[in-house]
Amino acid sequence: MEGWSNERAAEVFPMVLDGFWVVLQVTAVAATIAVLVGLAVAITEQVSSPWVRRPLSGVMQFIRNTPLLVQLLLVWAATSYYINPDWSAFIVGSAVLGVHYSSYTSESFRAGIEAIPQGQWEASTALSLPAHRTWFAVILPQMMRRSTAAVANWLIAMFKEVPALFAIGVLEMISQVDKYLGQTYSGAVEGYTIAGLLFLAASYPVAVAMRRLENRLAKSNF
Amino acid sequence: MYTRKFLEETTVSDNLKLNRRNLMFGVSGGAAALALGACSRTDSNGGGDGDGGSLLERAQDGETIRVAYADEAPYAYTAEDGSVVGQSVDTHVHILEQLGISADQIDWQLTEWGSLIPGLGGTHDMVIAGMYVTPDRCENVAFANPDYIMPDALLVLAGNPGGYTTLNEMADTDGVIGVMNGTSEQEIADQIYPEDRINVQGDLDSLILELKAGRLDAIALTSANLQLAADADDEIETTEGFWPKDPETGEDIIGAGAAVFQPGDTDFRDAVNDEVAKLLDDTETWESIVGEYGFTVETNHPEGLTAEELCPDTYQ
Repeated sequence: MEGWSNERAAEVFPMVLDGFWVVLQVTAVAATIAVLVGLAVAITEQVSSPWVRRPLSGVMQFIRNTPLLVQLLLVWAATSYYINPDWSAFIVGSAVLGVHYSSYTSESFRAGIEAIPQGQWEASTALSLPAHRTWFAVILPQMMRRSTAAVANWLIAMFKEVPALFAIGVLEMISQVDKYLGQTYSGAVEGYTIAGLLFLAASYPVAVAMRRLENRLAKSNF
Repeated sequence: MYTRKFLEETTVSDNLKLNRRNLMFGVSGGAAALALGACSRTDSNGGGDGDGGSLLERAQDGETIRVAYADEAPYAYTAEDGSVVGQSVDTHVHILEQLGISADQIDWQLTEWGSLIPGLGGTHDMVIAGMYVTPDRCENVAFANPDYIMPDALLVLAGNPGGYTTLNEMADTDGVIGVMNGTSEQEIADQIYPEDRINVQGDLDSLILELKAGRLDAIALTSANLQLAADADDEIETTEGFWPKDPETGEDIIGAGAAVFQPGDTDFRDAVNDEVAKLLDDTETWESIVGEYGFTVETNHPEGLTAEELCPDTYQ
């Protein structure tokens, strides 16, 4: 193996950038799913009967405690036989990634809801607020402030796991480096370094912003 | 003009190199083209360090020669009993015996693929790994004439329902092509297929699953790999072999492998060339040596193809 070469770095950079664009697209779709599904699960667990709540948390436990890679491969194989082989790896992969992380975000949302003082619920009842007003005007805004930082951390972790999608054929950043390696037998140092820096460039600002947000929330009254 | 020609050659040779990559799972390493520096240990009078004459003469006197291989089936690999076997190994052991060099004089050096050329003259005296002859490799080493050719093929469902023939012709249909990440087939497909008709996977097994799942219609790879897969599975079959064409120049991209020597050892190389020619003329003997590795006269016989034809400007 040889060391760093600026020439190779320049050659591999556009390919890695192509992959980075794919990573961002996957992250956008998967993050939307992770937040919406996670929120829906957290609320459902609060309001539904044990007959719904227990199986639902069982499913979430199951998703949380099995490897993402296994879920990707299983769902990708099952899609072709039971649903539709024409669904793209991008869609299936983003959905699996999003649902996988919704099992984590739902816990952060749940913690956010449970941290709201009981008095808030009692006050809502005393004021005869309808259920949807209780949720949307009282509970959720308070929950969001408590859960945002934790959920954002999950989304950053999810962002970094996008390369797992190459297992089902999504040409993200790491596979673009592999492609260059296969074509030239060189560029491993340059390619993986650039890929790592791009991940860092995207996730570090978000992490810093989240830390600031956390500090601000810690000082607030909620 | 010169620049243009140079670029085209680079493309073609890169493709040749890539073809080989198909067969090198998990192998990485330095670019063969960067091997130039490491070859500087070769001296012009035959690569010998001592005063005992050329490598060929010393070998014929019974001295040991160090031969590198890269552990790559079916060309040159370590068998379960520890012996080194393969199409290229058995072919050249036969050839060396014709030259009066016995098999037990060979000191086999297992070498990483990327070090086969850089280590020539340092850790080993010659390379028997079925290495493809390419113009830029010819700049650094002396190739013997090819002892096999390895066309591409398509792997399709049994009966070839789509009627696909070659990688280039399939681009005009609406079929989805499957390629392995980092191969020359992928590079060609990237140029002539729309993005949504290319299915990229990391290995052949995943590609075959995608084929059976109906997510792609044919897999393009070297025929040796595909044939092994097809032999083991009734649901799939390979098409006739073909040479992929460079989409820009329309030229065939020919994969042909040969033994490799230091540039100073051309006397040895020429002696091997004579024996390669004799062996290839005697197709019965040739097939008795390489048949067990899946090589056939119809698909893999070079039919007089020379290393010089593959490296018109850089042959030495």
